[in-house]
Amino acid sequence: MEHRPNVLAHIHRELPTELIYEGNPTDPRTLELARVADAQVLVASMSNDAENLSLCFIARERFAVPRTIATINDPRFAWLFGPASTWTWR
Amino acid sequence: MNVIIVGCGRVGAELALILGRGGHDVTVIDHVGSSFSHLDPAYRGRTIEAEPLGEGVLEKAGVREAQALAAVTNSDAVNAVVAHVARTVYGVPNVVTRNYDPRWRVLHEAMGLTAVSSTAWGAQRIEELLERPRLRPSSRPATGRWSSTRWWCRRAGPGGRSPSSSRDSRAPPSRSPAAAGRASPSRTGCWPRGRGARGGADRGRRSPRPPPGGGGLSMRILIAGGGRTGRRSR
Repeated sequence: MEHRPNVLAHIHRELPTELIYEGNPTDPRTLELARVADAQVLVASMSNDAENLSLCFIARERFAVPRTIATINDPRFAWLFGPASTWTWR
Repeated sequence: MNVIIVGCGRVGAELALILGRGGHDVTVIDHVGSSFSHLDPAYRGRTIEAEPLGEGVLEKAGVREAQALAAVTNSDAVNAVVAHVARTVYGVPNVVTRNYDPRWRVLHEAMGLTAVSSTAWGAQRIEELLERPRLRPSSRPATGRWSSTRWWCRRAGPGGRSPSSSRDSRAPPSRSPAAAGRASPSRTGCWPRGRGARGGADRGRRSPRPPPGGGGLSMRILIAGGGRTGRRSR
């Protein structure tokens, strides 16, 4: 899932079209379009750490994705993903 | 009470001023120092220039002693994560978030947060005033402090369920004079009819038109400004 035109142009050269969903991953409509509910794993690798964390939360809570992985760009945010925080997945 | 406000845009600065005037101990956090220029010169509380989600920043702002926290940045992700951490890690009893982009209301709902959407709420109020002029509030609109308006309400479901959780429409719409003039739908269990004020799950489904209240004729409406509020008003 990607919405930035310059990045899209890049990944269209590397990946088959049917693997690319155009749209902002932080828009729930894009998640539905990409059938997130059918995914076994979701990788959140956007540049905004809070959005990555939120996307993983939504994927788990609303779309019942069993496994979510997020990248941490800013080390100052690392504590949010560690044992200090209590992200309870239902 | 000790209150932490995360985000010092227009909403955060106004909130800081109101709470400060109310005698509360206010601390405002923003990661951009120039944002504090939004604060009124009369504001006497603390300001902290730091990334609100950075380790130890909330603690520096006194989150352990805070009775309330408002996350009002223009990022729904930051607001929701700050609020979630304040509630679950630090046990702040009263946490309110700002829902900036109505599409992201689902995030606040998934975390069980009390969210206020100035965008959806503002657009909906404007739409109501345009379509049904009889709903025009009787207060002085310039102050924005209060208004007295008649609302179309729906009773909360059995067991006092909140509007965000009662997505079924079992309870028929009913006129409730008791709810007139109250500002918060989550507090009253009522919410105005129409798009925008309801949860994300209702997005895209047009609610039934309200009974004729003064806006039966079609109008040509010009909206100056195509920002979030303007697009939502459409």
